Amino acid sequence: MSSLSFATSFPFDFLHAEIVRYEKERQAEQEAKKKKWMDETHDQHHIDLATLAEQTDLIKQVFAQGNAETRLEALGYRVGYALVEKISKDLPRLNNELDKMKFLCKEFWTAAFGKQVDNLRTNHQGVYVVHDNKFFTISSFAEGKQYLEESAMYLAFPCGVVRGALFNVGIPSLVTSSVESLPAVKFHVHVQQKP
Amino acid sequence: MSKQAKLPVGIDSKKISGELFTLTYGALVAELLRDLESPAEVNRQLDKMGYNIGLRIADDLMAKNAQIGRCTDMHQVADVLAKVALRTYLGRVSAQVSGWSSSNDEFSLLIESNPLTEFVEVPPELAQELRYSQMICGAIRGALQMLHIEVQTAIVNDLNQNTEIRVKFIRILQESVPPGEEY
Repeated sequence: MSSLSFATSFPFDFLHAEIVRYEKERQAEQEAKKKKWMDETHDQHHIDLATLAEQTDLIKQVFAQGNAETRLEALGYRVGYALVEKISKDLPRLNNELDKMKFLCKEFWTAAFGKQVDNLRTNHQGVYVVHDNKFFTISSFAEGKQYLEESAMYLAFPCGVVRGALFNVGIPSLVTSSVESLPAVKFHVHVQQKP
Repeated sequence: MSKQAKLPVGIDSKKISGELFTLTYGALVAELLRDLESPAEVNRQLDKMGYNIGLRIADDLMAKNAQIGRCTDMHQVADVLAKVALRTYLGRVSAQVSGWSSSNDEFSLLIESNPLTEFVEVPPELAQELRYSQMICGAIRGALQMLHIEVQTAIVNDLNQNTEIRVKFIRILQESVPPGEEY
Protein backbone atom coordinates (compact mmCIF):
# COMPACT_ATOMS: atom_id res chain seq x y z
CA MET A 1 0.00 0.00 0.00
CA SER A 2 1.63 3.17 -1.15
CA SER A 3 0.17 5.39 1.53
CA LEU A 4 2.18 3.42 4.07
CA SER A 5 5.53 4.02 2.44
CA PHE A 6 4.54 7.63 2.24
CA ALA A 7 3.78 7.52 5.95
CA THR A 8 5.58 10.72 6.71
CA SER A 9 6.50 13.25 4.12
CA PHE A 10 7.01 16.45 5.95
CA PRO A 11 5.79 19.28 3.79
CA PHE A 12 9.21 20.84 3.83
CA ASP A 13 9.04 22.02 0.25
CA PHE A 14 5.76 23.82 0.90
CA LEU A 15 7.24 25.51 3.93
CA HIS A 16 10.38 26.40 2.05
CA ALA A 17 8.41 27.89 -0.83
CA GLU A 18 6.46 30.04 1.63
CA ILE A 19 9.64 31.24 3.31
CA VAL A 20 11.09 32.17 -0.07
CA ARG A 21 7.92 34.02 -0.93
CA TYR A 22 7.96 35.88 2.38
CA GLU A 23 11.57 36.96 1.93
CA LYS A 24 10.87 38.15 -1.60
CA GLU A 25 7.92 40.22 -0.43
CA ARG A 26 9.96 41.63 2.38
CA GLN A 27 12.77 42.59 0.05
CA ALA A 28 10.34 44.40 -2.24
CA GLU A 29 8.91 46.20 0.78
CA GLN A 30 12.34 47.23 2.01
CA GLU A 31 13.28 48.52 -1.41
CA ALA A 32 10.12 50.59 -1.59
CA LYS A 33 10.89 52.05 1.84
CA LYS A 34 14.44 52.81 0.82
CA LYS A 35 13.30 54.53 -2.34
CA LYS A 36 10.82 56.60 -0.38
CA TRP A 37 13.48 57.63 2.06
CA MET A 38 15.88 58.57 -0.73
CA ASP A 39 13.22 60.63 -2.46
CA GLU A 40 12.31 62.43 0.71
CA THR A 41 15.85 63.40 1.61
CA HIS A 42 16.45 64.41 -1.96
CA ASP A 43 13.67 66.92 -1.70
CA GLN A 44 15.15 68.57 1.34
CA HIS A 45 17.70 70.85 -0.26
CA HIS A 46 18.91 72.43 2.91
CA ILE A 47 20.89 69.36 4.00
CA ASP A 48 24.46 69.84 2.92
CA LEU A 49 26.12 67.29 0.70
CA ALA A 50 28.52 65.78 3.22
CA THR A 51 25.78 64.80 5.67
CA LEU A 52 23.70 63.48 2.83
CA ALA A 53 26.51 61.24 1.58
CA GLU A 54 27.11 60.01 5.11
CA GLN A 55 23.49 59.23 5.65
CA THR A 56 23.20 57.51 2.30
CA ASP A 57 26.05 55.20 3.22
CA LEU A 58 24.46 54.48 6.54
CA ILE A 59 21.12 53.71 5.02
CA LYS A 60 22.74 51.45 2.45
CA GLN A 61 24.32 49.48 5.26
CA VAL A 62 21.04 49.23 7.09
CA PHE A 63 19.26 47.93 4.05
CA ALA A 64 22.07 45.68 2.84
CA GLN A 65 21.10 42.87 5.19
CA GLY A 66 17.56 43.07 3.87
CA ASN A 67 18.53 41.23 0.70
CA ALA A 68 16.32 38.17 0.41
CA GLU A 69 19.07 35.74 -0.55
CA THR A 70 21.34 36.82 2.28
CA ARG A 71 18.53 36.40 4.75
CA LEU A 72 17.59 32.98 3.44
CA GLU A 73 21.22 31.96 3.68
CA ALA A 74 21.42 33.15 7.28
CA LEU A 75 18.25 31.24 8.09
CA GLY A 76 19.75 28.10 6.58
CA TYR A 77 22.95 28.60 8.55
CA ARG A 78 21.06 28.41 11.82
CA VAL A 79 19.28 25.28 10.72
CA GLY A 80 22.41 23.53 9.44
CA TYR A 81 24.29 24.41 12.61
CA ALA A 82 21.71 22.73 14.81
CA LEU A 83 20.96 19.85 12.46
CA VAL A 84 24.54 18.61 12.16
CA GLU A 85 24.72 18.09 15.91
CA LYS A 86 21.73 15.81 15.79
CA ILE A 87 23.12 13.82 12.91
CA SER A 88 26.70 13.42 14.04
CA LYS A 89 26.15 12.71 17.71
CA ASP A 90 26.59 8.92 17.44
CA LEU A 91 29.37 8.92 14.88
CA PRO A 92 33.04 8.23 15.51
CA ARG A 93 35.36 11.19 15.56
CA LEU A 94 36.07 12.85 12.23
CA ASN A 95 39.78 13.37 12.00
CA ASN A 96 40.58 15.49 9.01
CA GLU A 97 39.00 17.82 6.55
CA LEU A 98 38.43 15.15 3.93
CA ASP A 99 36.69 12.91 6.46
CA LYS A 100 34.43 15.76 7.38
CA MET A 101 33.61 16.46 3.76
CA LYS A 102 32.82 12.80 3.22
CA PHE A 103 30.57 12.86 6.25
CA LEU A 104 28.82 15.89 4.82
CA CYS A 105 28.27 14.22 1.47
CA LYS A 106 27.04 10.91 2.84
CA GLU A 107 25.35 11.04 6.20
CA PHE A 108 24.47 14.68 6.36
CA TRP A 109 23.23 14.98 2.81
CA THR A 110 21.10 11.85 3.14
CA ALA A 111 19.61 12.94 6.42
CA ALA A 112 18.93 16.50 5.43
CA PHE A 113 18.30 16.35 1.71
CA GLY A 114 17.11 12.77 1.24
CA LYS A 115 19.90 11.36 -0.93
CA GLN A 116 23.65 11.15 -1.25
CA VAL A 117 25.56 13.56 -3.43
CA ASP A 118 26.49 12.29 -6.85
CA ASN A 119 30.03 13.54 -7.03
CA LEU A 120 32.57 15.26 -4.81
CA ARG A 121 35.64 16.91 -6.25
CA THR A 122 38.46 18.82 -4.68
CA ASN A 123 41.67 20.54 -5.70
CA HIS A 124 43.21 19.62 -2.32
CA GLN A 125 43.66 23.30 -1.60
CA GLY A 126 40.46 24.00 0.16
CA VAL A 127 38.04 24.09 -2.73
CA TYR A 128 35.42 21.39 -2.95
CA VAL A 129 32.73 21.02 -5.56
CA VAL A 130 29.71 18.96 -4.62
CA HIS A 131 27.57 17.75 -7.48
CA ASP A 132 23.96 16.82 -6.90
CA ASN A 133 22.18 15.78 -10.07
CA LYS A 134 18.70 16.14 -8.66
CA PHE A 135 18.59 18.56 -5.80
CA PHE A 136 15.44 18.41 -3.73
CA THR A 137 14.40 22.05 -3.35
CA ILE A 138 14.32 22.53 -7.10
CA SER A 139 13.35 19.01 -8.14
CA SER A 140 9.81 20.13 -8.89
CA PHE A 141 10.93 22.78 -11.37
CA ALA A 142 10.82 22.04 -15.07
CA GLU A 143 14.03 20.50 -16.27
CA GLY A 144 16.27 22.52 -18.51
CA LYS A 145 16.98 26.22 -18.47
CA GLN A 146 13.53 27.76 -18.27
CA TYR A 147 13.54 28.60 -14.56
CA LEU A 148 17.26 29.07 -14.12
CA GLU A 149 16.88 32.59 -12.78
CA GLU A 150 14.22 31.79 -10.22
CA SER A 151 16.07 28.74 -8.98
CA ALA A 152 18.86 30.83 -7.44
CA MET A 153 16.50 31.99 -4.71
CA TYR A 154 15.62 28.38 -3.89
CA LEU A 155 19.27 27.45 -3.37
CA ALA A 156 20.20 30.18 -0.90
CA PHE A 157 18.68 28.31 2.03
CA PRO A 158 20.44 24.98 1.35
CA CYS A 159 23.75 26.83 0.88
CA GLY A 160 23.30 28.22 4.35
CA VAL A 161 22.47 24.78 5.71
CA VAL A 162 25.70 23.39 4.27
CA ARG A 163 27.74 26.31 5.58
CA GLY A 164 26.24 26.01 9.05
CA ALA A 165 26.86 22.27 9.15
CA LEU A 166 30.47 22.64 8.05
CA PHE A 167 31.07 25.41 10.54
CA ASN A 168 29.87 23.26 13.38
CA VAL A 169 32.19 20.38 12.46
CA GLY A 170 35.07 22.82 12.43
CA ILE A 171 35.34 24.00 8.84
CA PRO A 172 34.60 27.70 8.38
CA SER A 173 33.77 28.12 4.73
CA LEU A 174 32.00 29.98 2.01
CA VAL A 175 29.34 28.09 0.12
CA THR A 176 27.92 29.14 -3.21
CA SER A 177 25.83 27.28 -5.72
CA SER A 178 25.72 27.24 -9.47
CA VAL A 179 23.23 25.70 -11.83
CA GLU A 180 23.75 25.07 -15.50
CA SER A 181 20.70 23.04 -16.20
CA LEU A 182 17.96 22.14 -13.74
CA PRO A 183 17.76 20.08 -11.57
CA ALA A 184 21.52 19.47 -11.32
CA VAL A 185 23.27 21.74 -8.86
CA LYS A 186 26.93 22.29 -8.04
CA PHE A 187 27.79 23.56 -4.59
CA HIS A 188 31.18 25.22 -4.33
CA VAL A 189 32.73 25.08 -0.90
CA HIS A 190 35.69 27.39 -0.30
CA VAL A 191 37.30 26.52 2.97
CA GLN A 192 38.59 29.54 4.78
CA GLN A 193 42.24 29.11 5.63
CA LYS A 194 43.26 29.65 9.18
CA PRO A 195 45.28 32.84 9.50
CA MET B 1 23.28 1.65 -7.12
CA SER B 2 26.39 -0.22 -6.01
CA LYS B 3 27.97 2.67 -4.17
CA GLN B 4 25.01 3.02 -1.84
CA ALA B 5 26.60 2.98 1.59
CA LYS B 6 24.63 1.80 4.56
CA LEU B 7 23.65 4.51 6.95
CA PRO B 8 25.22 4.17 10.37
CA VAL B 9 23.00 2.97 13.14
CA GLY B 10 20.90 5.62 14.80
CA ILE B 11 20.26 7.54 11.64
CA ASP B 12 16.79 7.30 10.33
CA SER B 13 16.46 9.50 7.29
CA LYS B 14 12.68 9.81 7.60
CA LYS B 15 12.94 10.99 11.14
CA ILE B 16 15.66 13.49 10.51
CA SER B 17 14.00 15.06 7.53
CA GLY B 18 11.34 15.88 10.09
CA GLU B 19 14.01 17.53 12.17
CA LEU B 20 14.99 19.65 9.19
CA PHE B 21 11.36 20.71 8.97
CA THR B 22 11.06 21.46 12.68
CA LEU B 23 14.30 23.41 12.81
CA THR B 24 13.43 25.38 9.71
CA TYR B 25 10.05 26.27 11.16
CA GLY B 26 11.72 27.39 14.37
CA ALA B 27 14.21 29.54 12.49
CA LEU B 28 11.34 31.08 10.56
CA VAL B 29 9.40 31.98 13.71
CA ALA B 30 12.51 33.51 15.25
CA GLU B 31 13.08 35.55 12.10
CA LEU B 32 9.49 36.76 12.04
CA LEU B 33 9.74 37.81 15.66
CA ARG B 34 12.74 39.92 14.75
CA ASP B 35 11.12 41.40 11.65
CA LEU B 36 7.65 42.23 12.84
CA GLU B 37 6.59 44.53 15.62
CA SER B 38 4.36 42.34 17.71
CA PRO B 39 3.69 38.66 18.38
CA ALA B 40 0.18 39.24 17.05
CA GLU B 41 1.67 40.26 13.71
CA VAL B 42 3.78 37.11 13.74
CA ASN B 43 0.67 35.01 14.35
CA ARG B 44 -1.02 36.67 11.41
CA GLN B 45 1.93 36.08 9.11
CA LEU B 46 2.24 32.43 10.18
CA ASP B 47 -1.47 31.97 9.59
CA LYS B 48 -1.18 33.47 6.12
CA MET B 49 1.73 31.22 5.21
CA GLY B 50 -0.12 28.23 6.59
CA TYR B 51 -3.17 29.13 4.53
CA ASN B 52 -1.08 29.25 1.34
CA ILE B 53 0.43 25.88 2.21
CA GLY B 54 -3.02 24.45 2.94
CA LEU B 55 -4.31 25.47 -0.47
CA ARG B 56 -1.60 23.37 -2.06
CA ILE B 57 -1.54 20.55 0.44
CA ALA B 58 -5.18 19.70 -0.20
CA ASP B 59 -4.24 18.66 -3.73
CA ASP B 60 -1.33 16.61 -2.52
CA LEU B 61 -3.40 14.82 0.11
CA MET B 62 -6.19 13.93 -2.27
CA ALA B 63 -3.73 12.67 -4.86
CA LYS B 64 -1.98 10.38 -2.40
CA ASN B 65 -5.04 9.09 -0.60
CA ALA B 66 -7.54 7.94 -3.16
CA GLN B 67 -9.65 6.21 -0.50
CA ILE B 68 -10.88 9.52 0.92
CA GLY B 69 -14.33 10.12 -0.39
CA ARG B 70 -16.61 13.09 -0.19
CA CYS B 71 -17.33 14.12 3.38
CA THR B 72 -20.97 14.73 4.15
CA ASP B 73 -20.72 15.99 7.70
CA MET B 74 -18.19 17.53 10.04
CA HIS B 75 -17.62 14.26 11.89
CA GLN B 76 -16.14 12.79 8.74
CA VAL B 77 -14.06 15.90 8.12
CA ALA B 78 -12.71 15.70 11.65
CA ASP B 79 -11.88 12.03 11.17
CA VAL B 80 -9.94 12.62 7.96
CA LEU B 81 -8.07 15.52 9.53
CA ALA B 82 -7.08 13.62 12.61
CA LYS B 83 -6.42 10.19 11.13
CA VAL B 84 -5.02 10.95 7.69
CA ALA B 85 -3.99 14.55 7.15
CA LEU B 86 -2.11 15.27 10.35
CA ARG B 87 -0.49 11.87 10.31
CA THR B 88 0.68 12.27 6.73
CA TYR B 89 2.22 15.67 7.19
CA LEU B 90 3.32 15.87 10.78
CA GLY B 91 4.74 12.41 11.26
CA ARG B 92 3.49 9.89 13.72
CA VAL B 93 1.46 12.21 15.84
CA SER B 94 -1.73 11.02 17.34
CA ALA B 95 -4.53 13.45 17.07
CA GLN B 96 -7.82 13.13 18.84
CA VAL B 97 -11.13 14.71 18.14
CA SER B 98 -13.12 15.90 21.10
CA GLY B 99 -15.26 18.65 22.47
CA TRP B 100 -18.09 18.53 19.93
CA SER B 101 -20.53 21.38 20.25
CA SER B 102 -24.20 20.49 20.62
CA SER B 103 -24.96 21.56 17.06
CA ASN B 104 -22.13 19.35 15.73
CA ASP B 105 -20.40 22.16 13.91
CA GLU B 106 -17.44 22.73 16.17
CA PHE B 107 -14.76 20.42 17.49
CA SER B 108 -11.29 20.35 18.98
CA LEU B 109 -8.28 18.59 17.54
CA LEU B 110 -5.87 17.48 20.22
CA ILE B 111 -2.41 16.91 18.82
CA GLU B 112 -0.19 14.98 21.17
CA SER B 113 3.53 15.72 21.09
CA ASN B 114 3.32 18.27 18.35
CA PRO B 115 6.51 17.91 16.28
CA LEU B 116 6.71 21.64 15.58
CA THR B 117 7.31 22.40 19.24
CA GLU B 118 9.75 19.54 19.76
CA PHE B 119 12.89 21.60 20.43
CA VAL B 120 11.18 24.78 21.43
CA GLU B 121 11.19 26.87 24.51
CA VAL B 122 9.22 30.05 24.13
CA PRO B 123 10.34 32.81 26.49
CA PRO B 124 7.68 33.51 29.11
CA GLU B 125 7.14 37.11 28.02
CA LEU B 126 6.03 35.87 24.59
CA ALA B 127 4.07 32.83 25.71
CA GLN B 128 0.91 34.84 26.31
CA GLU B 129 0.55 36.23 22.83
CA LEU B 130 2.56 34.10 20.45
CA ARG B 131 0.72 31.16 18.91
CA TYR B 132 3.70 29.09 17.97
CA SER B 133 1.89 26.49 15.89
CA GLN B 134 -0.44 28.94 14.20
CA MET B 135 0.71 27.67 10.83
CA ILE B 136 -1.17 24.40 11.36
CA CYS B 137 -4.37 26.40 11.85
CA GLY B 138 -3.81 28.29 8.64
CA ALA B 139 -3.07 25.08 6.78
CA ILE B 140 -6.28 23.40 7.97
CA ARG B 141 -8.31 26.44 6.97
CA GLY B 142 -6.64 26.64 3.57
CA ALA B 143 -6.97 22.96 2.82
CA LEU B 144 -10.65 22.84 3.75
CA GLN B 145 -11.31 25.95 1.72
CA MET B 146 -9.96 24.11 -1.32
CA LEU B 147 -12.60 21.47 -0.61
CA HIS B 148 -15.34 24.09 -0.42
CA ILE B 149 -15.68 24.04 3.34
CA GLU B 150 -15.23 27.32 5.12
CA VAL B 151 -14.06 26.98 8.71
CA GLN B 152 -12.67 29.08 11.48
CA THR B 153 -9.61 27.73 13.23
CA ALA B 154 -7.93 28.89 16.37
CA ILE B 155 -5.30 27.59 18.74
CA VAL B 156 -6.71 27.16 22.19
CA ASN B 157 -3.71 25.66 23.83
CA ASP B 158 -0.13 25.50 22.70
CA LEU B 159 3.34 24.65 23.85
CA ASN B 160 2.72 22.30 26.71
CA GLN B 161 3.06 18.93 25.02
CA ASN B 162 -0.41 18.91 23.57
CA THR B 163 -1.70 21.39 21.07
CA GLU B 164 -5.40 22.00 20.94
CA ILE B 165 -6.95 23.47 17.83
CA ARG B 166 -10.57 24.51 17.70
CA VAL B 167 -12.25 24.12 14.31
CA LYS B 168 -15.63 25.73 13.65
CA PHE B 169 -17.69 25.10 10.55
CA ILE B 170 -19.00 28.25 8.87
CA ARG B 171 -20.56 27.31 5.58
CA ILE B 172 -20.24 25.31 2.39
CA LEU B 173 -18.78 27.40 -0.41
CA GLN B 174 -20.88 27.17 -3.52
CA GLU B 175 -19.34 26.15 -6.77
CA SER B 176 -19.01 29.40 -8.66
CA VAL B 177 -17.68 30.53 -11.99
CA PRO B 178 -15.31 33.50 -11.89
CA PRO B 179 -17.11 36.73 -12.82
CA GLY B 180 -17.25 37.40 -16.52
CA GLU B 181 -16.97 33.76 -17.49
CA GLU B 182 -20.60 32.68 -17.34
CA TYR B 183 -21.91 30.49 -20.08
